[in-house]
Amino acid sequence: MIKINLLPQEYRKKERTSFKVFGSLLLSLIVVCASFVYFGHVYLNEFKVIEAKRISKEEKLKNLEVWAKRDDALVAERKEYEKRSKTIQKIANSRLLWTKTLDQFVDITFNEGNTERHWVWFSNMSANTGSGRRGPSMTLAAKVATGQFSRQANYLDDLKNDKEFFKDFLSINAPGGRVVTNEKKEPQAAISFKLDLRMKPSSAWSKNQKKKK
Amino acid sequence: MANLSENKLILIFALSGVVLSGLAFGGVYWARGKIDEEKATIETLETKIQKAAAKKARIPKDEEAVIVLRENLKEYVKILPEAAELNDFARTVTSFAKSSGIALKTLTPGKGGRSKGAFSKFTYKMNFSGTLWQFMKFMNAFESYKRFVRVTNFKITAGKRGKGVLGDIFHAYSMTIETFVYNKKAGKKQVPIPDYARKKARLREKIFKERASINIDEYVFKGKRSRRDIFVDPRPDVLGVEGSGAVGRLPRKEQEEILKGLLNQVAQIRELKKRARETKVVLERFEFSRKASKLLVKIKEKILEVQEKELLTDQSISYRFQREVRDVIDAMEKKGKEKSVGLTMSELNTIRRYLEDSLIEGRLDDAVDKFSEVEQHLVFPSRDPRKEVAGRIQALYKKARVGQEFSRLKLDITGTIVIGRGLSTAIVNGKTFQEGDPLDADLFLKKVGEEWCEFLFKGVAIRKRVR
Repeated sequence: MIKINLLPQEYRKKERTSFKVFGSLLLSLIVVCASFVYFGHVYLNEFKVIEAKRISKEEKLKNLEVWAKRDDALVAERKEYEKRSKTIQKIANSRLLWTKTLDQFVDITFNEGNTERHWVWFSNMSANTGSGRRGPSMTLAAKVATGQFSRQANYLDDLKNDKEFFKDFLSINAPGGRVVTNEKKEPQAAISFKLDLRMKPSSAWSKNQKKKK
Repeated sequence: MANLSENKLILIFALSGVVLSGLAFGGVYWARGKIDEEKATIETLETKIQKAAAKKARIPKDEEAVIVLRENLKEYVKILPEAAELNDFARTVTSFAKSSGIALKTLTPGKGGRSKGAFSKFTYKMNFSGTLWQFMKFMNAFESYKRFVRVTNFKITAGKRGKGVLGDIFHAYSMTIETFVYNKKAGKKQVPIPDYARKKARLREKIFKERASINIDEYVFKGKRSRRDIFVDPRPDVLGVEGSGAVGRLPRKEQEEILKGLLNQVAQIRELKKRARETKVVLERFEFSRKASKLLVKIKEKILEVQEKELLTDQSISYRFQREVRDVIDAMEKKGKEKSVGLTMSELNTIRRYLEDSLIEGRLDDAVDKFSEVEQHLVFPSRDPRKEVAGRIQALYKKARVGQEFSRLKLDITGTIVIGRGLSTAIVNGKTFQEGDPLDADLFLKKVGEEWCEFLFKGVAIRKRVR
């Protein structure tokens, strides 16, 4: 069925927005507004505040970093100077007084002129200070008068038993060698042998040990 | 819009609401994400700030540590030669060679010295010849040099004795020495520390406390000391010629006798010195000391003779001569020199009184003898109160010497004429002289009494009786 309104326009009943439409519009608006208010709150109240806090922290860090860098430089310098100090100490403490060692060695070999116990002489000597964990060493081509090996043993014993001389030594070779003769000399026989003396590395020398205590 | 149905409108509004709200929540989601990011950044920043703040707080401590290290390192590196000194090193080596007596053949600088590090190593290799004792003296010169130098290696090749050559044998040597130079400017630049001087002054104690003792060990090489060269075959030749080269040496028994005589003299000197120490009588002490000094001079002459003529060639005798005679006499002399400034005030006063008494009593020779005994003990520093007494003793001695000279003059006083208000006259050596008249260049008649005349001789007033 078709209804026709024949009343003129001005007499016709005015059309009103329905409550449902209005209600839905209002609800939508409220929801949207509430959403944007919430967004505004989160953005302006929370984000901006925390952003400002971050900026202030950054500023603070920037100021502190100048000092931190200064401290880093000081620490680096301290380490470098500690290294240098250790190096110079190591250099000084690793010096072997060869004059002293050789002087003591001559004393033991000379044995106050007593030739009964041993009578030793050398034809060459090489000595070096070693490096790193390898201590100094002395190598000598030696001869001991008479063909008795007991005299050579006496000499090696004297070297070993001299506490002042041997305190920083590590090893000495065992007795041995070959008997050689020289008819122009008296006594003619002598034992020719290689004398090999090895020292402890400088870090183990008695003078350095005392300092550590 | 008007054409849209109610339902459609509702749908449109609902959809629009959902879309817009969605956008807003999207924004919230984005903002939350950003907030989380910021929080994480802040957390990181706070950690960094904490670390930076801790570093800032550490600055004074680290500054202190750096000052202490800088100052101590400055001290440590003083043991090393300066770069400028290194240029002069060749001259130093030459002077060491000259003083030790070795003959330097080559001096070759090694590689190195261009290190970018804080310490640059410099090496020198040298070849030379000389006796064992010269070599040890040369090596010792480096090891006791004011700057750090170390011998890294050396080789000795024993030399051979030529026919008829006496004395020590020359050996061949090669030796490498090394030293280090500190390069202060190496590495990073020093951090500027404000108010450095004041902080350094405040830390003075700590700097000293933390200074590691870097002592460069030294050794004083005392020479041959009658020992044999261990690089020479010590066995005598079958023909009877001593391997050490002493041709025509004294028999061992005679050498023993010489040593015995010297040892006796040493014992005598010791005894005299002991008695001088023990006696409480000052004059006796000087008498013993004088005798000991005379004996010391005598034994020194004998020692010189023994050395020059190489009288003691036997190893053990020569060694005993060095240890028991030479070393002992050297020690005595050294001690004597140290003690020569040691007369006490009471000893000085005793000597002064003795000299005064001797002069008054006319014992001029006693006064002069006594002075010669103590003369070497009269040297004192200018501020020492004993110097004044010593000066008085010297003045008394001068008077005694003048008195001795005066007594040798021939002055025969035969008469005097004393005039109360004018110049008195005396007859000396047959001539008349008035007060103030010169008798000679240094001799004047000063005053005339009834039984005496007073002369002024070399500035000293001396009274002489009329014959």
